[in-house]
Amino acid sequence: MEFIIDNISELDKVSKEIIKLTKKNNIVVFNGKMGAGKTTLIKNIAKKMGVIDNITSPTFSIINEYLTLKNETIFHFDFYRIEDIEEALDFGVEDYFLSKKICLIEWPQIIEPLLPDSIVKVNIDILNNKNRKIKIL
Amino acid sequence: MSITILGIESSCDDTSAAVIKDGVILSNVIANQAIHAEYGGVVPELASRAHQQNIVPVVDTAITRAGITNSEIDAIAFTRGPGLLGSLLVGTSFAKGFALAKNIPMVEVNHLQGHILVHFLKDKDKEKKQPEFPFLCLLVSGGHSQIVLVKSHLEMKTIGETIDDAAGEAFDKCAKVMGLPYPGGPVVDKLAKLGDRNKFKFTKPRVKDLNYSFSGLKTAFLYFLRDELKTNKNFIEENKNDLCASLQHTIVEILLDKLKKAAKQTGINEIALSGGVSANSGLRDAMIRSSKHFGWNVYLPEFAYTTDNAAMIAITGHYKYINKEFVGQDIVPKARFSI
Repeated sequence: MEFIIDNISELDKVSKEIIKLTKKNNIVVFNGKMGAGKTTLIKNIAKKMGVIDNITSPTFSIINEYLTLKNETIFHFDFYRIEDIEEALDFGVEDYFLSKKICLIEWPQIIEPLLPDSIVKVNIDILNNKNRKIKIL
Repeated sequence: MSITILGIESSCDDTSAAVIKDGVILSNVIANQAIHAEYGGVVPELASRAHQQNIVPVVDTAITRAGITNSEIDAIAFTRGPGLLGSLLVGTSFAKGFALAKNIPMVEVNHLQGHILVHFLKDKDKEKKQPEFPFLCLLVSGGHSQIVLVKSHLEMKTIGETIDDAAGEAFDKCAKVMGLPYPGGPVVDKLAKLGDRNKFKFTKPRVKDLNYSFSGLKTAFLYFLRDELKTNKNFIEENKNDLCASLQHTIVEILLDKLKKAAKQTGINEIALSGGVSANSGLRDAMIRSSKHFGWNVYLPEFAYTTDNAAMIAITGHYKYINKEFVGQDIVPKARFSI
């Protein structure tokens, strides 16, 4: 599925599709260059899922944990700062993935070998300053 | 009667232990190569396993350097959150074991509250002015950017915070785009001193209330460089100092604008600064300028206590100990833990 977005308000329809897919797969990875809008899209998705917490970039914290109105936990990961797959293994990243809770992951490259086969992939391409191509695989 | 507190911090990258007596720092140890050399090992980065390897040598060193014995410790304070669950678990479990073995009370500490209370740490031979209540604290780090209204040592309220990236993250990511090493904040600060801060203008975000946003600045900086590189591939190299100075100036202005607004709204002119980014010289200078301009009493933390450290956990523990706010062995860490 592919979307061309030229306004931030159009993210709603993308989020809706991604949320539908999370019913079957608890892990969603987001690929895209810095400034592509990975955190912005995740913010939109999490809000639509009923997250009550402030949704911020986990680049420093690595994992943010959010609670929804229904008292469900959503994990927001960012592996930007992780240099070695061992580091991710050390803090128990597999436990989070196996928890069946929704995991939204930015900068997933380094931990790709640890991901299960069945995941949702979202690729965000910067077309120009305003426009984005978002592909859901 | 005097109070001696052992503090443990293991919420993110570093493992740290500190001993304070009546608020005076006796030792503050952060896991590093030297300590590991003494114990014959290397420092692995991040990760809870690293904390597991660090915690015993770090605590041991802190107690030795403080010149006390285990039996002199009245309570153990530990970071309960926010942070990485695995990392927090190491500190929490250690605290439980220590409290049980020594039969002393245990105090849980919110890491963010700790950052703010560094202003109440005392040095053995230095008199330091402490903020008067109520005061405002701008807490800025790699993971946080918030304005906190501090009513008493343990009564705090966040009145503004970032809705996306933290200020420290803006420094780091923009530095990365310029090809500077991680963490980029200190490098940008150094180069900024040699540049013209008014050379480049970046639009400031429009965010409601007392909240911050730094994601847009990061993107604007990125696009600006990309466009300039199209016509001059040496643009970054030729303008590095001015880019750093202009970027830093913009981040500092964004931080100060909301802080001024908060001071005006609350009528409070006791203003403190905390967190990793509080080591930034541009921000410190701006705070001092504002103190003259607006009649603020400004409190800047010592450099050693800007980043994560256990002395701040110990001082928070000190006040909780006075209030007898103890926790039991059933306590669990909390990854989500706001002020």
